[in-house]
Amino acid sequence: MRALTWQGTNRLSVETLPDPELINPRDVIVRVKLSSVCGSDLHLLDGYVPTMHAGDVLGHEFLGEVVEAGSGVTQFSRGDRVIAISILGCGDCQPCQRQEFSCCDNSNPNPTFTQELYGHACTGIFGYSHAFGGYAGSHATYVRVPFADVNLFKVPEGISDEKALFVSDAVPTGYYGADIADIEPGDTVAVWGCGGVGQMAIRSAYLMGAEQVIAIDRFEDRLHLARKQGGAIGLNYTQHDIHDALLSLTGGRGPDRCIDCVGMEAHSEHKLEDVYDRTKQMMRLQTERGAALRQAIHSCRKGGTVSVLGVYAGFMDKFPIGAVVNKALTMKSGQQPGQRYVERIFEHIQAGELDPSYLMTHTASLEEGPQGYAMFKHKSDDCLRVVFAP
Amino acid sequence: MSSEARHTLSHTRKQDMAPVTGVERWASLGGGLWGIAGGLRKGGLMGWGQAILSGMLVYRAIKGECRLKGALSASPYEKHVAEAHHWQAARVVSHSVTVNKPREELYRFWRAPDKLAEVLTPAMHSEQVDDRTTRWILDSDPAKQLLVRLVDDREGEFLEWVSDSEALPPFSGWVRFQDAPGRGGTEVQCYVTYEPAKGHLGYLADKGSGGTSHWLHRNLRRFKQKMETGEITASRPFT
Ligand SMILES: NC(=O)c1ccc[n+]([C@@H]2O[C@H](COP(=O)([O-])OP(=O)(O)OC[C@H]3O[C@@H](n4cnc5c(N)ncnc54)[C@H](O)[C@@H]3O)[C@@H](O)[C@H]2O)c1
Ligand SMILES: [Zn+2]
Ligand SMILES: [Zn+2]
Repeated sequence: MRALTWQGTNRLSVETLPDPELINPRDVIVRVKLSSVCGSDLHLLDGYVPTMHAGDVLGHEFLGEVVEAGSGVTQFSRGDRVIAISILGCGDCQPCQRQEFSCCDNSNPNPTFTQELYGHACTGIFGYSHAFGGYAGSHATYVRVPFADVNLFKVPEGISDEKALFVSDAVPTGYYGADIADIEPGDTVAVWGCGGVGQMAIRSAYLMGAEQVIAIDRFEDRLHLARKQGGAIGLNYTQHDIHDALLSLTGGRGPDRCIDCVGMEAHSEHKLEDVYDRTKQMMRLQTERGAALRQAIHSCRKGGTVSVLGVYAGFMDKFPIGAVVNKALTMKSGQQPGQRYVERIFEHIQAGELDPSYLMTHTASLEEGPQGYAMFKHKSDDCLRVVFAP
Repeated sequence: MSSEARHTLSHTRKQDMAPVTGVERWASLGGGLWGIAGGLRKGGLMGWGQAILSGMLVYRAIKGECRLKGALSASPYEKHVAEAHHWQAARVVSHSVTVNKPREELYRFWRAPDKLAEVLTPAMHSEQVDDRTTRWILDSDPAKQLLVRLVDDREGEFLEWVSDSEALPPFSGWVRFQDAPGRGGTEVQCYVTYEPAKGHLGYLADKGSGGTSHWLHRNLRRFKQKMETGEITASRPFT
């Protein structure tokens, strides 16, 4: 098969690899029809996530068709149109049984690295380094899905491929972020980052009862979509002092709920902060650039919630713990446990309350993968997400 | 292993500081002062770096103890085990996992060598010698064999073993199954002791590389995967 592989920092290539095979009885092989880029891949591309090996296949947000199912699979058979949740669960461990699928104990076959780094072994993720399982990703003709009955979902009839694809990753991530933010009717929610994840967090916040959502980014095309598709107030942080703007939009209280959809490669307008973070990240004295998260904590109202969806991998300096304590903030975070939400999300789509298909601003063939990622990384040509059709 | 280690946390007690005495102390002082002088003369980032590191040498000489050396030394419990067995050094590692299955089921699986062999890595197979003794043979190198004898066996609760082998270092251990509080499931704690080849050097190599500790952790995880999901999680051929 053909597959888009990571070869080193900022180096990708399309290679011919052996087709994946069933390894365990609960596996399924899916022929990939659509596979999207995600902001998380940029952290791999830019070399900030350790344990990537040359030749690893990228991609974790995909839709396809079942071609082969193991003997232990009960829900799927050849020909089913499916999406997979990018963060893998097993369904049987205690976290999975509590619906905390992204805390699964069993889906990572290489548990030692994260056990050492984070204190506990973390879950497996498609195409996301060997520390997170070493699973081959979905930017390929075929992909193997472990624990298929838990991680695959049939797409209901009437929902197009374009709408269903993002229920794999971007939609449940935004939905989860809004859910853990504990939004109450009347709340103001601020969302940092208007990529695919931020766009879905905006929409989800409204679905969960937010009164107004304020979206923050520097790319006008993305802010425009946040306004038009999401119904948010868009703030360009290169033009406004974000803290002042948020306070004036909320009578000085600050947003009740803040959602970080940026992560470890945040860009900062504050020249000094930007130079400080970049230098330390370059020297590997810290792994994160924290501008967005720091700002969210700074602006969140007293007693409010900061929900962190942006991915961070290691250690951050100048983390404003003083503001967290003295403003009695609640912080929530996690990789998305999409298995918990898929059904509800499909219902929203069927009811016409949510249409994620606008995230797909570009399509490309797998062979154009490296160019596709370059465009996504530099946000050129108003690119929000590139979707490959292997 | 003393039964005391099972119930108290004596095996997790750490060696915080190690004494710096005699020749080592004088060498640390002399080398440190010389390094500071050289570093300051050199100047620049490298020079200052050298001066700071050398300052640490002086510090440990003056204090007569060192935290770094402490972290590299055997723990009090490991020293105790080494003395009790008349070993040059002892490595003791322990890991615990909670498995979402009843105690008896886990015990029975562990008590059946042919079943246990399904989860162990590196791959090995077993030959039953008698009810309490099993020969374990490494698939990749059949010369590497281990005779494991159960010395304590409490139905549904506890298994303890010792091993004899010519090709591998002396090795013993125990596993305990305990009902987890509240949520159900079983807490499985496994504990392994062995004498590293080449004494303290072997000890350091094992500790530094994660060696036995990672091996035990990985195998306990595989046991948990098999018991809970019926499979051993895999991502081959990409691992
Ligand atoms: N938790 C999860 O399960 C999960 C799942 C998917 C993605 N993610 C993470 O979510 C984040 C966003 O993903 P994406 O696909 O939308 O990425 P993306 O790269 O498309 O979007 C990130 C956006 O953040 C903006 N940004 C950068 N610095 C900012 C700042 N200081 N303030 C406000 N906005 C800023 C960028 O301009 C960009 O538009 C990434 O970190 C990704 O790893 C997490
Ligand atoms: Zn993603
Ligand atoms: Zn699980």
